Amino acid sequence: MTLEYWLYGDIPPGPIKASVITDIKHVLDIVKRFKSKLFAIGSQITRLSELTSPDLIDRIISVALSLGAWIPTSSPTIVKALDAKNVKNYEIAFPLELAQKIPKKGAELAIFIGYPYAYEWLILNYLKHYAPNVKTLTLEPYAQPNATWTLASLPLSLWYKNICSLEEMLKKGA
Amino acid sequence: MSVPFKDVRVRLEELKSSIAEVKGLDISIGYVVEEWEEPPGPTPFPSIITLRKWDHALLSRYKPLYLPYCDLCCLCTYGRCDLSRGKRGSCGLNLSEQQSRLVTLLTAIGASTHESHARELLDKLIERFGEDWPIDLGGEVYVEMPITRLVTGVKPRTLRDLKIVLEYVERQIVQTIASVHTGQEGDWIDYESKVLHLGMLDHVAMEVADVVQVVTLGFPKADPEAPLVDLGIGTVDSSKPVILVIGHNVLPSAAIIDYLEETQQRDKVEVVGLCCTAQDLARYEKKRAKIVGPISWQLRFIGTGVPDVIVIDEQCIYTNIVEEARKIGAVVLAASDKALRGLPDRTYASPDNVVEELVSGKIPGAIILDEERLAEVAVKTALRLSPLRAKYKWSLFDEKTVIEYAKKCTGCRNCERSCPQNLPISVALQKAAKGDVSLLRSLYSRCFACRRCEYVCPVNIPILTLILAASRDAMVNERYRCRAGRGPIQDTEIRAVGRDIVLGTIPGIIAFVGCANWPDGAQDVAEMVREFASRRYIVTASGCSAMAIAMYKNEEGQTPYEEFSGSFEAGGLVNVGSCVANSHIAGAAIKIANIFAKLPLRANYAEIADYILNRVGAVGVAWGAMSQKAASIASGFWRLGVPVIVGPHGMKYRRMLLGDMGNDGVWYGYDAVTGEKVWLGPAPAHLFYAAESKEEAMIMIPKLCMRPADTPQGRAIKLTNYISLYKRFYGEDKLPPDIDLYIRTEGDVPVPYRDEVLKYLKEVGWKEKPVTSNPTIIEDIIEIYKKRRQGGS
Repeated sequence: MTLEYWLYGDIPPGPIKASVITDIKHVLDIVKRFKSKLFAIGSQITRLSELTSPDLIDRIISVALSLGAWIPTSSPTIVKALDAKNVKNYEIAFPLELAQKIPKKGAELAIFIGYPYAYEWLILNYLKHYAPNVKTLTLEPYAQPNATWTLASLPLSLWYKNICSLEEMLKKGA
Repeated sequence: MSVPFKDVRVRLEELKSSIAEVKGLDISIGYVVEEWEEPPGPTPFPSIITLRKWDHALLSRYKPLYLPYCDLCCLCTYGRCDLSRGKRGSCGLNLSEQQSRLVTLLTAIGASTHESHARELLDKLIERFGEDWPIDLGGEVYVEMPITRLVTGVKPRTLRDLKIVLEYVERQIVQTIASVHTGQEGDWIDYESKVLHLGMLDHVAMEVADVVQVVTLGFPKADPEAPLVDLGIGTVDSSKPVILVIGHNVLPSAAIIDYLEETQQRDKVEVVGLCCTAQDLARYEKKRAKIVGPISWQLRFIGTGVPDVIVIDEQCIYTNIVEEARKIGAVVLAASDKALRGLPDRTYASPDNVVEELVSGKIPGAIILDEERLAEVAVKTALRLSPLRAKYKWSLFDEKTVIEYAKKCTGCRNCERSCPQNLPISVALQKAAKGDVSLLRSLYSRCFACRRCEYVCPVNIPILTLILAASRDAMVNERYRCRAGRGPIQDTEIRAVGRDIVLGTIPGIIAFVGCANWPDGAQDVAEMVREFASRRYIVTASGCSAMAIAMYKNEEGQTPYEEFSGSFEAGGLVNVGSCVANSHIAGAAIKIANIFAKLPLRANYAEIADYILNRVGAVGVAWGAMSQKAASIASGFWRLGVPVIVGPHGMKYRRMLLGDMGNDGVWYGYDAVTGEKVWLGPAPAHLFYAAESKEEAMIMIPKLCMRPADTPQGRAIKLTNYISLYKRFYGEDKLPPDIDLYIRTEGDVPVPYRDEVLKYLKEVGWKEKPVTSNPTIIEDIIEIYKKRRQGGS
């Protein structure tokens, strides 16, 4: 199961497929390679939080902050959480307008988490074909083959543990 | 005016008879269109190229942002071709062109479907009522069929006049779909122009379809007080024989009602509908009709075991419905040759023999293409079958059985990975296995009953059946009131609101339309409607979305249809009817340009569309858009200058049409009176936009209602709505970061937020911008205005 790469339903992957990250430590190796990063957080993060743990949102924000990434989000819950933590380097950005802007923003690595599956799948495919210089990493619980790098599809409990591990590793400055 | 083809041609080389001898006779009998008072417009019966200039003006502002669903092309045997990252296929197409080509194909499917629907209604109703049947939409509708008039230049007076209109649409659809063939069109912008052309044709076809049924079948005619009808599974009396009608073509259902009335059996049989057939059944039978629900309620309702006979007509019907019916001992009658479903044809068989075959189980259903015969068979079969299948009615699993099945779950999560809604099915099953079915029950409102979860379950758990069984109470309690579709908007209503819409003091017209592919259930649509009707927008609705709106009661127990007036007015909620009644929403926008602004309507497409784009703050919201028809309906709105917002599933339409807010250059147009080039601003900002969440859509709606011609007062009202919704979701201390683009002068600044907006404008270095009350994006309009001022046509 942990190595399963494929997707929901019958969505066909393209000829250029993501590299699958099977060990969460590898995420650190990837993010270290890029200076300019954005960490886009979608509205579905609240649903993932309901299904895993109430502290998920805090952990995701912690990961984004540890990476020093610019945080675009359209989720009211995330905005409130960022305000509560007095985070300043975020922007309320709607995903499509964000996708349109990403190639112009000079971001080298765009990280995605918390978006509806097919919605993110298509945004990643836009970036893959039309902004090939922007590398993408998805931290969703389900594999996204249009990203440059994706986590494998994992049971939510394992995925949540991975997110916790990632947060810990980043905090320790690994 | 020119008619691009002839109706009849008789050619004889030689004819000898006892009366005369004729040689070389060649007679062409052209269609005679009655003249009307308005002079002919510039673009009657437009072909693909006629409105290309307008399309290119639109598309140079709203460029596609491509969201390829597939990186390959496999439409011909040159391929499959890999089109990724700039590669071209064997035929020469690249990924962008292929996406636009596929959108053309989708739109052609949608437009053909509406056209075929219109054709069937027109032919059958002409047969029944005659060609001279008048197009009378009631005493308050003088500008009948504004789309038809605008596109073709024909002012239809009788059903006969619609024949030439549909023939035009048919020819254009064929011509346009041919462009999709390998080696035809090769440029994205011309494919997109064809998409817009097909969308326009779709709107003509929809208008013909709806008007034909309104004028002949006694539907409400622009009646703001069209009756409230029952909606919901809980309203169905399962103690009676139940005939369920599904689809979009009302004729078979109407025949069933007529047969029941004629045989004085109406009280003995329940006739209930799903999807647009239900909408139109409610318009036909009015107070007595019952709507089960939107299209996604099909397998839910069949799963209850309640229907005895299922009559399918056309479009959006679950394709494996014969098998689903068989599971509950029901039978299927197919009424359209577009959806025969492998059933035996019994159109010409004796109705009593067919009833015998159905009741005995000899055949699972039958094709009966004659409505009267179908009606007789449906009623007789339901009466006989109902007592025989009493055991199926509400025969859902009990909780103990649900739990037993749930215990079989291995936690593989194939179900979740197959679910288009990403529902946490596996988690719900594991909870149910421990005796807690609450999570399973909670899936009901978001599940649209596609059964994809069941097909991938390795231990054959009937997942949908479990969800339904856990939700029995919810289904029984589905009892709502929905206003029957009223059809067109009255001319008097347009006169009353036209000024305020164009000035912006009514902040917009919002059309909630389309299918049932909602990301979080029907309630989101109802909540959005309630919000914007309360904010005094004019809210219109159609199709499955109009049903969703009914499924939400306020604290007083009222549905939005009971809470808001049915008039086309600020704070009104207008259900126009089924999918094809969407034409009345587009028609209302056109009528504002014609009745209020007095622009010539006849074959004057580009000028009217330019007027709507720049002055009529209308937005379509197809929150659950699913079908190809939804794509063609949206395309028709785009060509008319009306932006459309879809839900997250709408991203799968392969490309959006987005304005570039960061590129000042694209937002210039002209002052139609002075001829000056002026900055009009990103109003509207986008033409086709998929929102990720309800909150995003609710902020995007007021943003896309802004228009360059807004007066300062109107713009301030629109900005007030935009800002207040933004604040509600993101916090009182926040302002939309793009408001500087929408504030032209200090007069535009909304009073409730004046201080903080002015402070923000100072921070971003805002400068006052010129305002024009005569904006246009096409230079040709300047000349037209000039001629008109000089008294020319």
